[in-house]
Amino acid sequence: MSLLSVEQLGKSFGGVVAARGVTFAVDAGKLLAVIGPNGAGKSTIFNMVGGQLAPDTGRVVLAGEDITATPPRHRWRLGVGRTFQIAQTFVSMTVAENVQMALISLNRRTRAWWPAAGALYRDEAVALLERVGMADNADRPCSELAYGDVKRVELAIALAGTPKLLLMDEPTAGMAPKERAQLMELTAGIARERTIGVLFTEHDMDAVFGHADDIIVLVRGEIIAAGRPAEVRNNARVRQVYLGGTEIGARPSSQAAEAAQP
Amino acid sequence: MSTGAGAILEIDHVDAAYGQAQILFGVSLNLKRGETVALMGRNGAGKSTTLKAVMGLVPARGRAVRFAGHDILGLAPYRIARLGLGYVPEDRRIFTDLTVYENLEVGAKAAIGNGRAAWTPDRLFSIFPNLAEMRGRRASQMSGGEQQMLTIARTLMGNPEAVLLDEPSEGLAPVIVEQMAEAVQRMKAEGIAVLLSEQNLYFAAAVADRSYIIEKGAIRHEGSMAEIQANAALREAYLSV
Amino acid sequence: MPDLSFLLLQTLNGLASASSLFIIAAGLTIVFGVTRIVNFAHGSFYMLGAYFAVTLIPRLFDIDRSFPIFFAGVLLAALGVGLIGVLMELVLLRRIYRVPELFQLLATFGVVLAVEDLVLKIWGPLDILGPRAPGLRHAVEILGHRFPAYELFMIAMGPLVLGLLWLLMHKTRFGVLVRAATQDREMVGALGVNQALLFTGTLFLGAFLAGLGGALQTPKLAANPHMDISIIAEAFVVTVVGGMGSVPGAFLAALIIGQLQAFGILIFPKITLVLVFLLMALVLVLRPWGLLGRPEAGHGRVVLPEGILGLKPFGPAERILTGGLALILVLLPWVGDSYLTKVVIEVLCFALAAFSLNFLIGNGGLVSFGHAAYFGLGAYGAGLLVTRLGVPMEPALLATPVIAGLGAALFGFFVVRLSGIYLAMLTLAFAQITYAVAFQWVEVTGGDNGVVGVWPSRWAASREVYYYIVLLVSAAAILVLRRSIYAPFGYTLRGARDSVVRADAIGIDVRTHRWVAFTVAGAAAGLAGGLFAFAKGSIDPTLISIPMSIDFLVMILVGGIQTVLGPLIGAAFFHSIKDFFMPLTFYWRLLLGLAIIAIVLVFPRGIVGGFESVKARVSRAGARQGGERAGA
Repeated sequence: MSLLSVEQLGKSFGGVVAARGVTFAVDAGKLLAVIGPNGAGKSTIFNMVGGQLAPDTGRVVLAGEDITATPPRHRWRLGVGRTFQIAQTFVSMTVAENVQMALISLNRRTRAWWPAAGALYRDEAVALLERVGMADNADRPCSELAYGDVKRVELAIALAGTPKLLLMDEPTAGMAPKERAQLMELTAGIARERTIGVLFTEHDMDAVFGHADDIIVLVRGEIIAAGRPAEVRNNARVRQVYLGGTEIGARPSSQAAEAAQP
Repeated sequence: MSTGAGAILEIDHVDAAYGQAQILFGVSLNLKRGETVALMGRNGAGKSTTLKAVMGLVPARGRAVRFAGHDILGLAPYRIARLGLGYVPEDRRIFTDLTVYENLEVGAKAAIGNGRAAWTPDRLFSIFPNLAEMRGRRASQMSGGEQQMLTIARTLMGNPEAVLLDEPSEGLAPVIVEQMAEAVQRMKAEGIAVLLSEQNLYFAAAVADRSYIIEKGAIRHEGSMAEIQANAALREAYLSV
Repeated sequence: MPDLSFLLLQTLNGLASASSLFIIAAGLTIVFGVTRIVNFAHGSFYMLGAYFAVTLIPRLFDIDRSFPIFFAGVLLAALGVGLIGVLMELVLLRRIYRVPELFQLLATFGVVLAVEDLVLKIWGPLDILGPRAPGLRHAVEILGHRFPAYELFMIAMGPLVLGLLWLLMHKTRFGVLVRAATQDREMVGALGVNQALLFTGTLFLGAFLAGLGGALQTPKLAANPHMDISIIAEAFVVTVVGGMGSVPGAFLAALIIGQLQAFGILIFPKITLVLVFLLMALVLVLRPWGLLGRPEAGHGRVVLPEGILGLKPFGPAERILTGGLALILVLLPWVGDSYLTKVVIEVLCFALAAFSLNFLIGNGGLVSFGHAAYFGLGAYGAGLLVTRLGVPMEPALLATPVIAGLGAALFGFFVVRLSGIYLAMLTLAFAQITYAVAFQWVEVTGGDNGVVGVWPSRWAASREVYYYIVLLVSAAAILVLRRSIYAPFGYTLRGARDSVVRADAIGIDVRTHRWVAFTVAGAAAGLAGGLFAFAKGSIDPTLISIPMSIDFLVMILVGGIQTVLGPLIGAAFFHSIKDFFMPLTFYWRLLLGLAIIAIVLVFPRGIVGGFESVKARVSRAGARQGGERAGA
């Protein structure tokens, strides 16, 4: 059984189809990349798996449990960790406190009134930061970090929930090229070591082809190709789509040039 | 890289960031008078951010952005627009509460005095006949393709010397994409320099003289359109999967 | 069955008040649409319109006592107010478009205070009734009832102004730009439009409309120095119900509210004010962006929130300072005179209320404009228990957090469903409901006069003993609240303020936590109100009024919302300044208003925040000498 299976997911916004018949699965310990041109429906799919959007049709099943209608905060308790395209951290807190917050929530102690939050689960938080290479920055305010480091913190926050599945929306967006490769390696390593399934969208083809076990290609809300990286890379339709779909012939351009003459 | 001689727009080592997220790393490129240049790259590569940085819509740093002899880095967008640089945003940003005609009115601005015939709604309607038929209609009731036409027409109403055109073909049906190509060619015929961001190679090939390829926030290649079309390795590396 | 002709007459009354509400609210909504500033001074513009008219029109009547002259006077008055709007834009607003929303609001309230004092100075405290409009002084017979002709004229003015505004908005370039900017300011700029001019023009229009509304009222409502605050709440309601930025929405909302007032007074004469605010609460819960408004397009950018940033433990300097302050407070009755003790009692009550407000705003990001509601609930709870039911002080005081907490839980249930400016407006609405009940339910609350005789038990009757009670209770409550800011509960609120999305993604039920926080803050404010009632010996509706809520906001903003203890300093500073200047000068409001404006312009992080940035600058300068920081 797959860790995550997405079955016949569909969604439209005011008549515009953003997803139709989308079906795929993510296995534990594997990385699945969702790619496609802008407006292909990647974010829509992603938000339906994350729970931010309710699908019109279809199901989302996590480890055998139907979570289609489960709100995001409950999905987290079922083992869905998430990072965002624009990193979402608690900017007024330190790096460690960000991870501690996730642990406090995991242990259902967010309503505690008396203990000092800064001392709760500190060691566990630092251990997680160690894993993402941020332990040295544990006491720095999150607002001071370079963006690549913020993304690492986000990863540590997601890991704090001991996830089965990680959802990463454009994990390398906004990062310097070198940081990108490092983050993807880190993610892949953690996924394998903790047998976490990873579903990610990404524009950086190095990240996609370097680290994804499988790739699905979305165009106008539908999957047009799926498979191993090599298969997708050699898929003629995919290449065509990435270069702009149909060719624009010389026909209209000469006409237009003539028409433009006064 | 080619020199800035005859360039109307020159971007010189520009960085840009949204908060902590840095998007551009020392982007340099130029656009000559009357020329159409494509800035190509996959989505997320930094194309739109480059155009926004030029227009003063995202915080940018760097050596300079020169337009028509002025250093415009750090100027307010309206000042940049008034120097004769037009901007057509990727997500169109049509004023949906306004009619087609009113949208054009917002864009209206006197020409810089280059002797060219000023754009009027009527002249624009002759290029975009669809718009003429719906001049009194609310922009919210237009299709995506019609809105894309309107956003270009709106910018032309400001009588720009050069236009930054962000992803003109994105999300449009093939027949509309062809109309867009015609519109860009018409701008070129009018002597307007165009810097367009594009990931559609066919579209770029149909309209552009030259191209830059941007990847991960930095310019990776500069050359003629023919060169990119001929060079499969280049396409593999930066444009295709 | 009621008489049909009478119903018609009430409808006409409703239409007349709808007209004047619309004219005023239209200006507010246009200004908000373009500048995104919620302009409290709009009420001042309205008041100035009235004063200009009562001054100008009698002089103009020297020329000719005729309706055209009357109308020319009204227009001239509005024009004058429009110019004052321009002045305000050029001198103040232009400098604060980029400062946080809350500070903009505060600055416009500074203008309210300053204008109020200038009006008192120029025109005096007495009501001034304007001359009646020549030609419209008679009554018209409608189905056997007499109806004032001027009211008919007012009924016509609403649609007339709507029509003229429609023409302006659709047939002039300025109007088209205003509508475009209301939707997407940045794009308008990218098309080459100089926003500064557009904003100036918008302020002229907005102030002109407010002034017109004020001038048109003068034949039926005397110009008085309190009309600014009373109108601004109503204008906010109309704007919010209609959808902020929407002129047609304001018209629709004004029609509904006008009728609600006209018929509400027949059915529920005691609670007409309540009805209006209930309508607003209902609309906001069902349509969070008002009837014809639309949600604000978010940009999804991560920005540093306004409010408490890092939590640092006290350094030696802070410890010594706090310890010294505590010592002074404990010894105060021996070292200070009775008057000082009285002032410090009040400061302590306000400090607790301000602290609880910053618990919401600075820590939780929930900007409440109506915190006085809970302060007032506590005060009235205590006062009514003691005077009406004969309950002794001790149980009455214990009941105050419960009463206010229940009120806050009820209102908070709706409040936490909204965010941003609409959340703030809903808290204001609930505060006005509370105010209206206290004001209108005369049998129980004593109405405008309130209730006297709210005294402590005999053992606590001396000022010194009561001082220690207040010191003990407020310090304990503040410490408990402060503790929670450092505990998981406070962290969770702050986290949700920083990023709701992130909080949600790590399993936090943001809404419930906010609801609890709102309730707790309300309870603490209620306790403060209870303590205050016994200190003063009386209660009255000013404890729940908008100015009271604003005072609390000023206290925390002056102290610095990004600090935990700033609100305490702010409360002490603000109240002692007010207490010191009020008896000394007739101009305390003017001075206070100017001080608030100055603080927003030069000290936007408050006193404690300013102190900390100086400290940070000094330590940075020290670090720089040690060598350049690695990694820019």
